[in-house]
Amino acid sequence: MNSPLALLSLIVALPLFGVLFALTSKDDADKPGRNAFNVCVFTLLANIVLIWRIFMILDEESGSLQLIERYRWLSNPEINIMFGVDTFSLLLILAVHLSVLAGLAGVRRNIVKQKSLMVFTLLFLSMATGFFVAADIFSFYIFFEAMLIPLFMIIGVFGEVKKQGTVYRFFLYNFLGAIILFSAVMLIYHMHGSVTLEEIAGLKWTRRLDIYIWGAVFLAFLSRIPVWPFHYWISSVCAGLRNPLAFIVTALLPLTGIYGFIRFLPEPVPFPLNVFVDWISIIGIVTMLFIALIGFINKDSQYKIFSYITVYYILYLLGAFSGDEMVLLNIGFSLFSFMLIFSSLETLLAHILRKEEQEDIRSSGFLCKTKRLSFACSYLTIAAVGMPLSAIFINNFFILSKLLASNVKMGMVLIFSLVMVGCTLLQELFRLKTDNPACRADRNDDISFPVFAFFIFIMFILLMSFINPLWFVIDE
Amino acid sequence: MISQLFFSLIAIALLALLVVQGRRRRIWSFLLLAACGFLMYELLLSFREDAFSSFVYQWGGFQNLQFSLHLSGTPEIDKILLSLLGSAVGLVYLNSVYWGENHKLTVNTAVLLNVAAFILLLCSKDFVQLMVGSSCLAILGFYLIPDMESKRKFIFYGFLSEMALFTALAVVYDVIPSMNLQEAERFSTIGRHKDLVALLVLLCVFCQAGMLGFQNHILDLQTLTFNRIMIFCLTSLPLSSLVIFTKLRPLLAASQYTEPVLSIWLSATAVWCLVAMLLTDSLKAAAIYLNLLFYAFSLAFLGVCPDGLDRVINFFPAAILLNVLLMMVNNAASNELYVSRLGGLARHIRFTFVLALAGIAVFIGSFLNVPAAAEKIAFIYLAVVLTGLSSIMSRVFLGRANADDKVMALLKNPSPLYWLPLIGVFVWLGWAYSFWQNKMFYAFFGAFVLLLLIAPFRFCGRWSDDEDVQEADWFNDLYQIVILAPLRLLGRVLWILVDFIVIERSIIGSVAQTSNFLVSGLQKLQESVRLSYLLMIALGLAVLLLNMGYKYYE
Repeated sequence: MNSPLALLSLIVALPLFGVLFALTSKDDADKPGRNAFNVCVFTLLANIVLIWRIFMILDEESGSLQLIERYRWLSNPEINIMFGVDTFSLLLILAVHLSVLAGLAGVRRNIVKQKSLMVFTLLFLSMATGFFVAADIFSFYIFFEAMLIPLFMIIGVFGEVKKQGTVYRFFLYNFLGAIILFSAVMLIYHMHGSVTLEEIAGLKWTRRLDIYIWGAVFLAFLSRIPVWPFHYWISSVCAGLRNPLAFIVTALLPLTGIYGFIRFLPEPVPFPLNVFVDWISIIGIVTMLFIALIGFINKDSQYKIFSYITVYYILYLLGAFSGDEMVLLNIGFSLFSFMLIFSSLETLLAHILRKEEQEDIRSSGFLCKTKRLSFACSYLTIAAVGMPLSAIFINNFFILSKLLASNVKMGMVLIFSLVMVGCTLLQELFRLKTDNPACRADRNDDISFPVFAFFIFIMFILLMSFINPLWFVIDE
Repeated sequence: MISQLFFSLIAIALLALLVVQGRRRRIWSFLLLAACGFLMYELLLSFREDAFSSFVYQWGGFQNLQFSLHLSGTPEIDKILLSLLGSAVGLVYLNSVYWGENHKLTVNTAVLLNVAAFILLLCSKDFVQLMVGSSCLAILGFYLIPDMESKRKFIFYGFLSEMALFTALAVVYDVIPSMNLQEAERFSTIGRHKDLVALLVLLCVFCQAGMLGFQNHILDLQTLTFNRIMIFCLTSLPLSSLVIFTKLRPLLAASQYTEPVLSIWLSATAVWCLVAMLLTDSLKAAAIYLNLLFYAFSLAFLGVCPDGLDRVINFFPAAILLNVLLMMVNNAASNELYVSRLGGLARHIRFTFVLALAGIAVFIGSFLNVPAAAEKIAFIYLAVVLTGLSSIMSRVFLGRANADDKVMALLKNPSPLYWLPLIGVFVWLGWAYSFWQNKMFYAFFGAFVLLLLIAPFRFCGRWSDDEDVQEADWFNDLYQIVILAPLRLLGRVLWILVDFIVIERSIIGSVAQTSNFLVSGLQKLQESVRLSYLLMIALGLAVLLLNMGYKYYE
């Protein structure tokens, strides 16, 4: 199926137009960056409408990429830019948009360099959308790397972290990943020319090239995923970030690694790829347990959310290795809810931490005085730990049943990690909800009604996704 | 009718939630009671007319992951619901007249929602509905508990039980592979990891029912008022354990370990509850131990009578009765909670004493009409309960008077709002069971009266003031020492060792040092043009030679 209105290009380009509008927007003296913020929100909303429209014309049952758009970039050497989507990638694009929207709710009162933040956010959004709609290896590589530029700026400028160390780690890991993937892409191009993502899994090389190319691809994707020892850059970045939007876009990066594995991995997994897969599965399980344990003892709320994100991302990674089409579909549905949950939770927690830092209000017991915040945090935490309030519940059931079937011992360790990380989140919720006389928070410290309404909307989406993950799709 | 009942309960609860902040909450509370009574009457009519409705809504799924909302009635389901709804109506009434409850409407709403969640659980025909029903009861229970520490423990145990159920069913699903509960029977023949699945289901059931080792969340309910303890124990999460135990019986039967684990665990729970009842000084704690004993009995009963869920639910009014008797004593003595601060009340509030004796007689009679297979279990249960209860009642009614003057001056019998319906329940249960025809009734009641009079366990009263005994939380300490402390230590060691020493110092540090070394080497090369020129040529030649050598070798 071809795109009737070049819709895929449009959803990649629209945030870039938004960048132009945001750059030229007038700065209000009272509320600096407000206009840029509005531009960003409207661009996002417009893109969400377009994504919704794409869902309408997409064949949900089809497993192949649809709405293909092809553009000639270079004729010699022949390099094309090709876009295409399926239900899985489109769900992830929608989830990225909604997550960023949740992050925007957390920075709406920000006045320091707000315009720049909005510009880089829109740039990131464009690149991330491009990455998920990329249908050939070059487009994939370009967007895979291009999204790092706005992210680098967001973390470096707005992260409010010990900049040098964190940004250095971010650069080190991602730069090495980029070089390695670049060499693999070059080799693939040299051997087979410009290939589509759907063809990669079927390509044949010599044994030595197999080891090199798949090793490089694996390393490049792993550099994005918080699997040991690659987890370190993302853990040190996330633990230091105080800007919810920066945290959310950073935490979206592992998604690109997992998506890469899903797109590249052949089924059944041939030798020597199966050796890599086995090793990564073992390392992944150990990392899960390790991060879950550290999250359990760590007192930093951000780290707790990071440990939750890590454990779930690794769960999805292990699910992706199964190669089962049904498992992949379930990963897509589960990821959608997961991203909405962690981005919303992060925004709400960042609100509490900001109050704690700026107004010297103890966060312990904060939720006792703030009803709206308390309701939203309770709902999201209970949904996050896997209770039937979002699609995570059913879809993870399916993913876990497959993982337990393949190796019950590893599966039990995985469940233990999920329990640990669930307890970590519940522990944090109760710390915030336990009455503390030293906490001076009052009703004025609660989230505003429009923000609360937005999170109610997110909760509604989560609940509906539990009933039917594609509830919003109206077949034409 | 089941579907109408389910949706009506939710609709009434939502309506009640809308008016919960408004005025005249007491009137609303009674209106809610009337609505419940009407629903029960309708259910009774449909049950009598054998009008069993069918309601199936396919609400999700793809390929072999199909699940539906089943709310269809069968004679067994309707019978169970009738009994439970009757108990719920009783609890709503009690809650509406109980002076100690400030949030009557909220709590009544929780009762209705609990019943709705129970319907979901009971009518489940697939794994998803079963898990959703169980989780709903856990979530509703969370909102029923006002105390944060109790909430914390409750949600942790609830979460643990849900995860155990989730994992067990995930293992089963891949083997069958179907969501259908009826297909679970096939697991015993073709299944793998049968012992693991059975142990996970038992873990879930024990956590929900608060059996030995998993009781902390239930014991913490002592911070709640009597009515909430009753509502929680008899309509919330522990109730879910009975349904799960019944529905997943084929999975339990697949393992040879189920029977011994169940026997040992339930016996240990019974012994522990008995000892705790003899030692405890709190009436609320006693009520909770009685409820735990009831669940231990129910699970043992279901162990020998797998289809006996309807009978177990029929025991609920009798279980509620014991709670009400203890609550009545508490109310009569100006809310005095401690047994050691009461004593000799029989002389002052004779009517309450007579009511309590009558209640215990009815309680004994309710448990005598059981199938032969469960007779032994029922007798053991009655023996344990009566021994524990006699110790408490003997100290309260016949023991030495220890109450202060104020309590003694304000002693009062219960109001007609309590005793009239109570006598109604006595008559109804007496008519239903006709227990006076059973010789065992006289034996048990006689033994109870004897125990009451001679009070053989009165020496346990010496530990009433011993804080170490009364406040002891050995299992919590055990979990802290055996599980949580090692996990925390391991987490800290891993964090410091792996993150800081291995990654930060070794990997990142070495990469930084290598890049520094390269940069400084290149800087030195740039300092002397001739030297760098010669070195570059030498390096180029070396690469060329290596390449040629490699090609020659190939």
